Amino acid sequence: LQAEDLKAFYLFALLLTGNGREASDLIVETLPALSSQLGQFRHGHHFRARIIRALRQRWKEHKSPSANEFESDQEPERLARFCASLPEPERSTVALFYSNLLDHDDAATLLGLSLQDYAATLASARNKLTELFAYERKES
Amino acid sequence: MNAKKAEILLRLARPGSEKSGDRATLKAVRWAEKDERSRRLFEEQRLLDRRILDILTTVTLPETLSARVADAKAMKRHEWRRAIPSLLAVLLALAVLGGLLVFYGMQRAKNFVGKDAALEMIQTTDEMNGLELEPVSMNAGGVGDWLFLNHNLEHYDVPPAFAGLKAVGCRVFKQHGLPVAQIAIDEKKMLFFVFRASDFHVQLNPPGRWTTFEHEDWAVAIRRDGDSCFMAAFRGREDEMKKWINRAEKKRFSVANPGRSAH
Repeated sequence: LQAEDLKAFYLFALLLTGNGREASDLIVETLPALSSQLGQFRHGHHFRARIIRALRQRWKEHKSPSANEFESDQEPERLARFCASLPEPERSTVALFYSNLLDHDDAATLLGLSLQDYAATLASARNKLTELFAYERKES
Repeated sequence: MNAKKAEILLRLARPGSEKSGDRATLKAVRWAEKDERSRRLFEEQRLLDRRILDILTTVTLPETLSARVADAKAMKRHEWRRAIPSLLAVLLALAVLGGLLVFYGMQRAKNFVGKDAALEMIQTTDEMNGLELEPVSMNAGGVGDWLFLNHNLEHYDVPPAFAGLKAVGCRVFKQHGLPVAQIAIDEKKMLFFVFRASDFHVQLNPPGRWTTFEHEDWAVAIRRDGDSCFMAAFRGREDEMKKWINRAEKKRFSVANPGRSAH
Protein backbone atom coordinates (compact mmCIF):
# COMPACT_ATOMS: atom_id res chain seq x y z
CA LEU A 1 0.00 0.00 0.00
CA GLN A 2 1.16 3.52 -0.80
CA ALA A 3 1.31 6.02 2.06
CA GLU A 4 -1.57 8.05 0.56
CA ASP A 5 -3.74 4.94 0.36
CA LEU A 6 -2.90 4.10 3.95
CA LYS A 7 -3.89 7.63 4.95
CA ALA A 8 -7.21 7.35 3.10
CA PHE A 9 -7.97 4.07 4.88
CA TYR A 10 -6.97 5.64 8.17
CA LEU A 11 -9.38 8.55 7.54
CA PHE A 12 -12.14 6.08 6.72
CA ALA A 13 -11.40 4.10 9.91
CA LEU A 14 -11.20 7.32 11.93
CA LEU A 15 -14.66 8.46 10.80
CA LEU A 16 -16.01 4.94 11.32
CA THR A 17 -14.66 4.45 14.84
CA GLY A 18 -14.57 8.06 16.07
CA ASN A 19 -11.24 7.47 17.74
CA GLY A 20 -7.66 7.68 16.43
CA ARG A 21 -6.36 4.82 18.56
CA GLU A 22 -9.23 2.53 17.57
CA ALA A 23 -8.74 3.52 13.92
CA SER A 24 -5.05 2.57 14.07
CA ASP A 25 -5.82 -0.74 15.78
CA LEU A 26 -8.52 -1.53 13.23
CA ILE A 27 -6.10 -0.89 10.36
CA VAL A 28 -3.33 -2.97 11.96
CA GLU A 29 -5.69 -5.87 12.66
CA THR A 30 -7.31 -5.87 9.22
CA LEU A 31 -4.80 -4.89 6.53
CA PRO A 32 -2.03 -7.49 7.07
CA ALA A 33 -4.48 -10.37 6.70
CA LEU A 34 -5.56 -9.01 3.30
CA SER A 35 -2.14 -8.10 1.93
CA SER A 36 -1.68 -11.57 0.39
CA GLN A 37 -4.87 -11.05 -1.65
CA LEU A 38 -3.58 -7.88 -3.32
CA GLY A 39 -2.46 -9.78 -6.43
CA GLN A 40 -5.90 -11.29 -6.93
CA PHE A 41 -7.46 -7.93 -7.84
CA ARG A 42 -6.94 -6.54 -11.29
CA HIS A 43 -8.40 -3.15 -10.43
CA GLY A 44 -7.30 -1.03 -7.49
CA HIS A 45 -10.81 0.04 -6.59
CA HIS A 46 -11.86 -3.61 -6.20
CA PHE A 47 -9.10 -4.14 -3.69
CA ARG A 48 -10.03 -0.91 -1.89
CA ALA A 49 -13.65 -2.08 -1.72
CA ARG A 50 -12.44 -5.44 -0.29
CA ILE A 51 -10.48 -3.65 2.42
CA ILE A 52 -13.37 -1.32 3.26
CA ARG A 53 -15.73 -4.28 3.55
CA ALA A 54 -13.25 -6.02 5.87
CA LEU A 55 -12.77 -2.89 7.98
CA ARG A 56 -16.53 -2.46 8.42
CA GLN A 57 -17.03 -6.15 9.18
CA ARG A 58 -14.24 -6.23 11.75
CA TRP A 59 -15.49 -3.06 13.39
CA LYS A 60 -18.99 -4.48 13.57
CA GLU A 61 -17.73 -7.70 15.20
CA HIS A 62 -15.00 -6.36 17.46
CA LYS A 63 -16.17 -2.88 18.31
CA SER A 64 -14.46 -1.82 21.51
CA PRO A 65 -16.80 -0.67 24.30
CA SER A 66 -14.53 2.32 24.89
CA ALA A 67 -14.49 3.31 21.22
CA ASN A 68 -16.51 6.47 21.61
CA GLU A 69 -14.93 7.56 24.84
CA PHE A 70 -13.46 11.01 24.87
CA GLU A 71 -9.82 10.79 23.92
CA SER A 72 -8.71 14.14 22.60
CA ASP A 73 -10.23 17.52 22.07
CA GLN A 74 -8.55 18.06 18.74
CA GLU A 75 -10.87 19.08 15.92
CA PRO A 76 -10.31 15.91 13.80
CA GLU A 77 -11.23 13.67 16.73
CA ARG A 78 -14.34 15.76 17.48
CA LEU A 79 -15.41 15.46 13.84
CA ALA A 80 -14.69 11.69 13.96
CA ARG A 81 -16.85 11.34 17.08
CA PHE A 82 -19.69 13.18 15.35
CA CYS A 83 -19.47 10.88 12.33
CA ALA A 84 -19.18 7.75 14.47
CA SER A 85 -22.29 8.76 16.40
CA LEU A 86 -24.39 8.59 13.22
CA PRO A 87 -26.43 5.45 12.64
CA GLU A 88 -25.60 3.08 9.80
CA PRO A 89 -25.62 3.41 6.82
CA GLU A 90 -25.14 7.16 7.35
CA ARG A 91 -21.88 6.59 9.23
CA SER A 92 -20.31 4.48 6.49
CA THR A 93 -21.69 6.76 3.77
CA VAL A 94 -20.04 9.80 5.35
CA ALA A 95 -16.79 7.90 5.94
CA LEU A 96 -16.71 6.74 2.31
CA PHE A 97 -17.62 10.13 0.90
CA TYR A 98 -15.03 12.15 2.80
CA SER A 99 -12.23 9.59 2.61
CA ASN A 100 -12.76 9.60 -1.17
CA LEU A 101 -11.67 5.95 -1.48
CA LEU A 102 -14.32 4.89 -4.00
CA ASP A 103 -16.44 6.56 -6.64
CA HIS A 104 -20.12 7.00 -5.78
CA ASP A 105 -21.35 4.02 -7.77
CA ASP A 106 -18.92 1.63 -6.07
CA ALA A 107 -19.62 3.14 -2.66
CA ALA A 108 -23.39 2.76 -3.12
CA THR A 109 -22.95 -0.85 -4.29
CA LEU A 110 -20.72 -1.66 -1.32
CA LEU A 111 -23.38 -0.35 1.07
CA GLY A 112 -26.16 -2.12 -0.80
CA LEU A 113 -27.88 1.15 -1.76
CA SER A 114 -29.08 2.61 -5.02
CA LEU A 115 -27.28 5.78 -6.09
CA GLN A 116 -30.39 7.79 -5.25
CA ASP A 117 -30.60 6.28 -1.74
CA TYR A 118 -26.87 6.79 -1.28
CA ALA A 119 -27.30 10.48 -2.14
CA ALA A 120 -30.33 10.77 0.17
CA THR A 121 -28.42 9.02 3.01
CA LEU A 122 -25.53 11.43 2.52
CA ALA A 123 -27.91 14.43 2.63
CA SER A 124 -29.51 13.15 5.84
CA ALA A 125 -26.07 12.58 7.43
CA ARG A 126 -25.00 16.10 6.45
CA ASN A 127 -28.07 17.55 8.16
CA LYS A 128 -27.22 15.69 11.37
CA LEU A 129 -23.58 16.78 11.22
CA THR A 130 -24.67 20.38 10.70
CA GLU A 131 -26.85 20.11 13.81
CA LEU A 132 -23.97 18.61 15.81
CA PHE A 133 -21.60 21.39 14.76
CA ALA A 134 -24.28 23.98 15.62
CA TYR A 135 -24.85 22.38 19.02
CA GLU A 136 -21.12 22.37 19.69
CA ARG A 137 -20.82 26.05 18.76
CA LYS A 138 -23.71 26.90 21.04
CA GLU A 139 -22.20 24.93 23.95
CA SER A 140 -18.81 26.52 23.58
CA MET B 1 -31.85 17.89 -16.70
CA ASN B 2 -34.75 16.96 -14.46
CA ALA B 3 -35.03 17.98 -10.82
CA LYS B 4 -34.53 14.46 -9.45
CA LYS B 5 -31.29 13.88 -11.32
CA ALA B 6 -30.04 17.35 -10.44
CA GLU B 7 -30.76 16.75 -6.77
CA ILE B 8 -28.80 13.47 -6.77
CA LEU B 9 -25.84 15.08 -8.55
CA LEU B 10 -25.82 18.05 -6.19
CA ARG B 11 -25.89 15.84 -3.11
CA LEU B 12 -22.98 13.79 -4.46
CA ALA B 13 -20.94 16.81 -5.58
CA ARG B 14 -17.55 17.03 -3.95
CA PRO B 15 -16.24 20.58 -3.41
CA GLY B 16 -14.62 21.76 -6.64
CA SER B 17 -15.97 18.92 -8.78
CA GLU B 18 -17.76 21.33 -11.15
CA LYS B 19 -14.50 23.24 -11.63
CA SER B 20 -12.60 20.07 -12.41
CA GLY B 21 -14.58 19.59 -15.60
CA ASP B 22 -17.43 17.40 -14.31
CA ARG B 23 -20.04 18.63 -16.82
CA ALA B 24 -22.99 16.82 -15.27
CA THR B 25 -22.30 18.39 -11.89
CA LEU B 26 -21.78 21.79 -13.56
CA LYS B 27 -25.20 21.50 -15.21
CA ALA B 28 -26.78 20.53 -11.89
CA VAL B 29 -25.15 23.53 -10.18
CA ARG B 30 -26.53 25.83 -12.90
CA TRP B 31 -29.93 24.27 -12.39
CA ALA B 32 -29.70 24.90 -8.64
CA GLU B 33 -28.76 28.54 -9.17
CA LYS B 34 -32.13 29.14 -10.79
CA ASP B 35 -34.00 28.01 -7.68
CA GLU B 36 -33.49 29.95 -4.46
CA ARG B 37 -34.09 27.04 -2.07
CA SER B 38 -31.87 24.64 -4.01
CA ARG B 39 -29.13 27.25 -4.28
CA ARG B 40 -29.22 27.88 -0.52
CA LEU B 41 -29.17 24.15 0.34
CA PHE B 42 -26.26 23.55 -2.00
CA GLU B 43 -24.37 26.49 -0.51
CA GLU B 44 -24.87 25.08 3.01
CA GLN B 45 -23.76 21.67 1.82
CA ARG B 46 -20.58 23.14 0.35
CA LEU B 47 -19.77 25.03 3.53
CA LEU B 48 -20.11 21.85 5.56
CA ASP B 49 -18.09 19.77 3.08
CA ARG B 50 -15.31 22.36 2.96
CA ARG B 51 -15.21 22.53 6.72
CA ILE B 52 -15.00 18.75 7.05
CA LEU B 53 -12.38 18.42 4.33
CA ASP B 54 -10.34 21.22 5.90
CA ILE B 55 -10.40 19.38 9.20
CA LEU B 56 -9.47 16.08 7.55
CA THR B 57 -6.56 17.76 5.76
CA THR B 58 -5.01 18.40 9.17
CA VAL B 59 -5.14 14.72 10.07
CA THR B 60 -1.72 13.16 9.95
CA LEU B 61 -1.08 9.46 9.77
CA PRO B 62 0.08 8.24 13.21
CA GLU B 63 3.86 7.93 13.04
CA THR B 64 3.91 4.31 14.14
CA LEU B 65 1.04 3.10 11.94
CA SER B 66 3.09 2.11 8.88
CA ALA B 67 5.60 0.28 11.08
CA ARG B 68 2.82 -1.48 12.99
CA VAL B 69 1.20 -2.64 9.74
CA ALA B 70 4.58 -3.90 8.47
CA ASP B 71 5.24 -5.70 11.80
CA ALA B 72 1.80 -7.27 11.75
CA LYS B 73 2.40 -8.52 8.18
CA ALA B 74 5.75 -10.02 9.22
CA MET B 75 4.12 -11.62 12.24
CA LYS B 76 1.45 -13.19 10.01
CA ARG B 77 4.21 -14.73 7.91
CA HIS B 78 5.99 -16.01 11.03
CA GLU B 79 2.73 -17.41 12.37
CA TRP B 80 2.41 -19.39 9.16
CA ARG B 81 5.99 -20.60 9.41
CA ARG B 82 5.50 -21.52 13.05
CA ALA B 83 2.41 -23.48 12.08
CA ILE B 84 4.31 -25.59 9.50
CA PRO B 85 5.82 -28.10 12.01
CA SER B 86 2.41 -28.56 13.64
CA LEU B 87 0.80 -29.10 10.24
CA LEU B 88 3.49 -31.60 9.30
CA ALA B 89 2.96 -33.44 12.59
CA VAL B 90 -0.79 -33.60 11.93
CA LEU B 91 -0.21 -34.85 8.36
CA LEU B 92 2.27 -37.45 9.60
CA ALA B 93 -0.18 -38.62 12.27
CA LEU B 94 -2.93 -38.88 9.64
CA ALA B 95 -0.62 -40.86 7.35
CA VAL B 96 0.29 -43.27 10.18
CA LEU B 97 -3.37 -43.63 11.12
CA GLY B 98 -4.29 -44.27 7.48
CA GLY B 99 -1.53 -46.88 7.23
CA LEU B 100 -2.73 -48.62 10.40
CA LEU B 101 -6.30 -48.67 9.10
CA VAL B 102 -5.17 -50.18 5.80
CA PHE B 103 -3.01 -52.74 7.63
CA TYR B 104 -5.87 -53.59 10.00
CA GLY B 105 -8.27 -53.90 7.04
CA MET B 106 -5.86 -56.24 5.23
CA GLN B 107 -5.31 -58.37 8.32
CA ARG B 108 -9.05 -58.55 8.85
CA ALA B 109 -9.57 -59.67 5.28
CA LYS B 110 -6.97 -62.43 5.67
CA ASN B 111 -8.40 -63.66 8.98
CA PHE B 112 -11.90 -64.76 8.09
CA VAL B 113 -14.33 -66.92 10.01
CA GLY B 114 -13.76 -70.58 9.15
CA LYS B 115 -10.08 -70.15 8.24
CA ASP B 116 -9.07 -72.98 10.62
CA ALA B 117 -11.25 -75.43 8.69
CA ALA B 118 -9.67 -74.30 5.40
CA LEU B 119 -6.17 -74.75 6.84
CA GLU B 120 -7.07 -78.20 8.10
CA MET B 121 -8.01 -79.18 4.52
CA ILE B 122 -4.61 -78.05 3.26
CA GLN B 123 -2.81 -79.89 6.07
CA THR B 124 -4.38 -83.20 4.97
CA THR B 125 -1.96 -83.09 2.03
CA ASP B 126 0.95 -83.69 4.44
CA GLU B 127 -0.32 -87.20 5.05
CA MET B 128 -1.04 -88.01 1.39
CA ASN B 129 1.11 -90.27 -0.75
CA GLY B 130 -0.71 -89.62 -4.06
CA LEU B 131 -2.53 -92.94 -4.14
CA GLU B 132 -5.59 -91.46 -2.49
CA LEU B 133 -6.40 -89.50 -5.66
CA GLU B 134 -8.39 -91.22 -8.33
CA PRO B 135 -6.67 -90.57 -11.66
CA VAL B 136 -8.80 -88.59 -14.11
CA SER B 137 -8.09 -86.95 -17.43
CA MET B 138 -10.48 -84.12 -18.02
CA ASN B 139 -10.82 -80.39 -17.75
CA ALA B 140 -11.43 -79.04 -14.26
CA GLY B 141 -14.81 -77.78 -15.50
CA GLY B 142 -15.93 -81.38 -15.96
CA VAL B 143 -15.10 -82.39 -12.39
CA GLY B 144 -18.45 -81.01 -11.14
CA ASP B 145 -20.28 -83.66 -13.18
CA TRP B 146 -17.79 -86.34 -12.12
CA LEU B 147 -18.40 -85.49 -8.44
CA PHE B 148 -22.15 -85.61 -8.95
CA LEU B 149 -22.07 -88.92 -10.79
CA ASN B 150 -19.53 -90.67 -8.55
CA HIS B 151 -20.14 -89.14 -5.14
CA ASN B 152 -23.62 -87.63 -5.44
CA LEU B 153 -22.24 -84.17 -4.65
CA GLU B 154 -24.35 -81.47 -6.27
CA HIS B 155 -23.04 -77.98 -7.10
CA TYR B 156 -19.42 -78.80 -6.28
CA ASP B 157 -18.22 -76.86 -9.31
CA VAL B 158 -14.89 -75.28 -10.23
CA PRO B 159 -15.21 -71.53 -11.06
CA PRO B 160 -15.34 -70.82 -14.83
CA ALA B 161 -11.94 -69.05 -14.74
CA PHE B 162 -10.27 -72.40 -13.95
CA ALA B 163 -12.60 -74.70 -15.85
CA GLY B 164 -10.10 -75.06 -18.73
CA LEU B 165 -7.23 -76.35 -16.57
CA LYS B 166 -6.29 -80.01 -16.82
CA ALA B 167 -7.37 -82.11 -13.82
CA VAL B 168 -5.22 -85.20 -13.16
CA GLY B 169 -6.76 -86.58 -9.99
CA CYS B 170 -9.84 -86.28 -7.79
CA ARG B 171 -11.05 -87.49 -4.46
CA VAL B 172 -13.68 -86.75 -1.85
CA PHE B 173 -12.67 -86.93 1.78
CA LYS B 174 -14.57 -86.28 4.96
CA GLN B 175 -13.49 -83.62 7.38
CA HIS B 176 -15.43 -83.89 10.64
CA GLY B 177 -17.89 -86.02 8.70
CA LEU B 178 -18.52 -83.42 6.01
CA PRO B 179 -17.52 -83.81 2.35
CA VAL B 180 -14.66 -81.95 0.74
CA ALA B 181 -13.79 -82.42 -2.92
CA GLN B 182 -10.09 -82.27 -3.72
CA ILE B 183 -8.84 -81.91 -7.29
CA ALA B 184 -5.21 -82.16 -8.41
CA ILE B 185 -4.36 -79.84 -11.30
CA ASP B 186 -1.50 -80.44 -13.67
CA GLU B 187 -0.39 -76.80 -13.74
CA LYS B 188 1.86 -75.76 -10.85
CA LYS B 189 0.98 -79.03 -9.06
CA MET B 190 -1.98 -77.14 -7.75
CA LEU B 191 -4.78 -78.42 -5.54
CA PHE B 192 -8.38 -77.27 -5.66
CA PHE B 193 -10.79 -77.78 -2.77
CA VAL B 194 -14.53 -77.43 -3.20
CA PHE B 195 -16.91 -77.59 -0.24
CA ARG B 196 -20.04 -76.07 1.22
CA ALA B 197 -19.34 -72.87 3.14
CA SER B 198 -22.16 -73.59 5.58
CA ASP B 199 -20.65 -77.01 6.47
CA PHE B 200 -17.49 -75.32 7.82
CA HIS B 201 -18.99 -71.96 8.81
CA VAL B 202 -16.79 -70.11 6.34
CA GLN B 203 -17.65 -66.42 6.05
CA LEU B 204 -15.84 -64.24 3.53
CA ASN B 205 -16.46 -60.56 3.00
CA PRO B 206 -17.35 -59.52 0.45
CA PRO B 207 -18.69 -62.71 -1.14
CA GLY B 208 -17.59 -63.37 -4.72
CA ARG B 209 -14.14 -61.85 -4.21
CA TRP B 210 -10.84 -63.56 -3.65
CA THR B 211 -9.11 -63.66 -0.28
CA THR B 212 -5.47 -64.66 -0.48
CA PHE B 213 -3.02 -65.60 2.25
CA GLU B 214 0.08 -67.67 2.95
CA HIS B 215 0.22 -70.65 5.24
CA GLU B 216 3.59 -72.32 5.87
CA ASP B 217 4.89 -72.79 2.30
CA TRP B 218 1.44 -72.74 0.69
CA ALA B 219 -0.05 -69.84 -1.21
CA VAL B 220 -3.82 -69.99 -0.85
CA ALA B 221 -6.75 -68.24 -2.54
CA ILE B 222 -10.34 -68.73 -1.44
CA ARG B 223 -13.69 -67.35 -2.51
CA ARG B 224 -17.31 -67.99 -1.73
CA ASP B 225 -20.18 -67.84 -4.21
CA GLY B 226 -23.47 -68.48 -2.47
CA ASP B 227 -22.96 -71.58 -0.35
CA SER B 228 -20.20 -72.91 -2.58
CA CYS B 229 -16.65 -72.37 -1.42
CA PHE B 230 -13.66 -72.82 -3.71
CA MET B 231 -10.06 -72.87 -2.54
CA ALA B 232 -6.90 -73.08 -4.66
CA ALA B 233 -3.45 -73.80 -3.18
CA PHE B 234 0.04 -74.31 -4.47
CA ARG B 235 3.47 -74.17 -2.94
CA GLY B 236 4.67 -70.60 -3.38
CA ARG B 237 4.09 -67.03 -2.25
CA GLU B 238 0.89 -65.03 -1.89
CA ASP B 239 1.88 -62.50 -4.60
CA GLU B 240 2.43 -65.40 -7.05
CA MET B 241 -1.08 -66.62 -6.27
CA LYS B 242 -2.51 -63.13 -6.84
CA LYS B 243 -0.75 -62.87 -10.20
CA TRP B 244 -1.89 -66.32 -11.21
CA ILE B 245 -5.53 -65.56 -10.36
CA ASN B 246 -5.41 -62.23 -12.23
CA ARG B 247 -3.97 -63.94 -15.27
CA ALA B 248 -6.56 -66.75 -15.17
CA GLU B 249 -9.47 -64.30 -14.83
CA LYS B 250 -8.15 -62.02 -17.60
CA LYS B 251 -7.73 -65.03 -19.85
CA ARG B 252 -11.28 -66.08 -19.16
CA PHE B 253 -12.54 -62.49 -19.81
CA SER B 254 -10.73 -62.25 -23.13
CA VAL B 255 -12.19 -65.62 -24.19
CA ALA B 256 -15.69 -64.51 -23.15
CA ASN B 257 -15.34 -60.97 -24.66
CA PRO B 258 -12.97 -61.11 -27.60
CA GLY B 259 -11.68 -57.65 -28.65
CA ARG B 260 -12.26 -55.99 -25.25
CA SER B 261 -9.71 -55.40 -22.52
CA ALA B 262 -10.33 -56.54 -19.00
CA HIS B 263 -10.48 -54.03 -16.12
